[in-house]
Amino acid sequence: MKLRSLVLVSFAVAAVIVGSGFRALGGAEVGSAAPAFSLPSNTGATVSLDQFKGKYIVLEWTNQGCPYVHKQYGTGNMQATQKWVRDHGGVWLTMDSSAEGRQGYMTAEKATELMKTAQMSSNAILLDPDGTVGHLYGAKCTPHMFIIDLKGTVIYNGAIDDKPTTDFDDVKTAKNYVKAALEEAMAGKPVTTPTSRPYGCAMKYKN
Amino acid sequence: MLALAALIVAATPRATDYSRPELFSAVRAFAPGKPFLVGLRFTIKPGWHVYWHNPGDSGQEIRVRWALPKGWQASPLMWPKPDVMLDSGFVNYGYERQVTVLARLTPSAQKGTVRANLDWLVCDKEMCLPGKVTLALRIGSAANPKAGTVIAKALSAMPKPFNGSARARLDGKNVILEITLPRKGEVAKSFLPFDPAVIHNSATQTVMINGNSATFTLAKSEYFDARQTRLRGIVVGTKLPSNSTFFSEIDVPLQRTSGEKP
Repeated sequence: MKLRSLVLVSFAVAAVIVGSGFRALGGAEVGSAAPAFSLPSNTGATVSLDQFKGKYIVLEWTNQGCPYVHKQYGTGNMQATQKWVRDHGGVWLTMDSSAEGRQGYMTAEKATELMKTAQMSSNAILLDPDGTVGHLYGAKCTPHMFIIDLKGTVIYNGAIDDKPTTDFDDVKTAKNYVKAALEEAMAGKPVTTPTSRPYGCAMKYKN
Repeated sequence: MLALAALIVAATPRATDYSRPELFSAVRAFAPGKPFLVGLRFTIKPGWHVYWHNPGDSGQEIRVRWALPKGWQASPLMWPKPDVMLDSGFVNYGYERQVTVLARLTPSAQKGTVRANLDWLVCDKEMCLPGKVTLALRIGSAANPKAGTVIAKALSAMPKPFNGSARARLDGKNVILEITLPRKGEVAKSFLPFDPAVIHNSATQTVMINGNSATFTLAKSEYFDARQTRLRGIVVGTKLPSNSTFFSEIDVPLQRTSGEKP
């Protein structure tokens, strides 16, 4: 793929404007309304974001072939965070934006099996093989986490924690940003760390 | 759960199958206080890549934790210009085939072995594998005959220091970088950010050019790290009329305009 490059010559000001880059800005920005979507879930039901209005919602982009995802699931940290959110009245949606034929792609059956074998507490795994919702949110890697508050506003966009490694041992000493943000929001406090750089494997979007 | 994880790990190929790290030093004898270079070279299978200091929208940079004889010091890593890799509008900065990063070691009088504890990630279009090895090098005892060439080649591949003038400031949602290139006919095209959370890695960059001056408008990273006090990176440009590409390394204070939150 070539880098998109745009050259405009304006003789009036004798200047050249060069635009070089890859994509327009976008995604789910902290402080803005969470983009609406509906997707099929692992059970075959269609799940819409707006059906959870009035609850805290966590979106977790995943790819079970990614070593950064292994770290979270192999240590049980992701499942524990899911359970904590559910126990506190929140909703957890695990998002799969891997295209068919690419790493991490799941059919509904495979997603249901994963929920069981990995002992996940997510409400559902949502299937986004076209990557539409992944691009809408600007999901960059796996895992990439978003939190939506009671009013439908994005209050967190970033990493699961502050240790950008694949080392299982790091989970013990890591600060879980998702849990920390929810604890603060649920206590009526502002979120100390509303964004952090997500770390992980590249998304396997449809090309 | 742990049993499941162990099964996954056992079934996974190793990072070293796709990216082989080696440590080089050309010095035959060291003198206390006199710095010398060591090179860490990765040889990478076609279709796979390792990552720059700023890996881009995903991935992980090559990390080295040095275990050195008492009193020795190591500089930060020096990196050649990365390749820009795109997938679905997202960007990664890294290296294919082969790359050598350098570090400057300053020895004390203490003899001993230099150890590099490495962590890195190697990926192809689908799969990523984390690597973790320790490489050892006994300085002075029969240097690898290839080391001189490896290190000289790595040094010549480093981006050249920027000789013009440059300044950078935060301006709302943007970082403005103003540069004046040292020679006429040099045209700046793009900026590669050395740190991952200063400017948006994959946003369109706008460059306004006036002679050999250029003003870059770079979208601030959505994960902007407020502790960042400098803008570091590589200016990629073209020399006219030959149309050859050049790379200059920039490291300037990132100024806050009045009223801008630090």
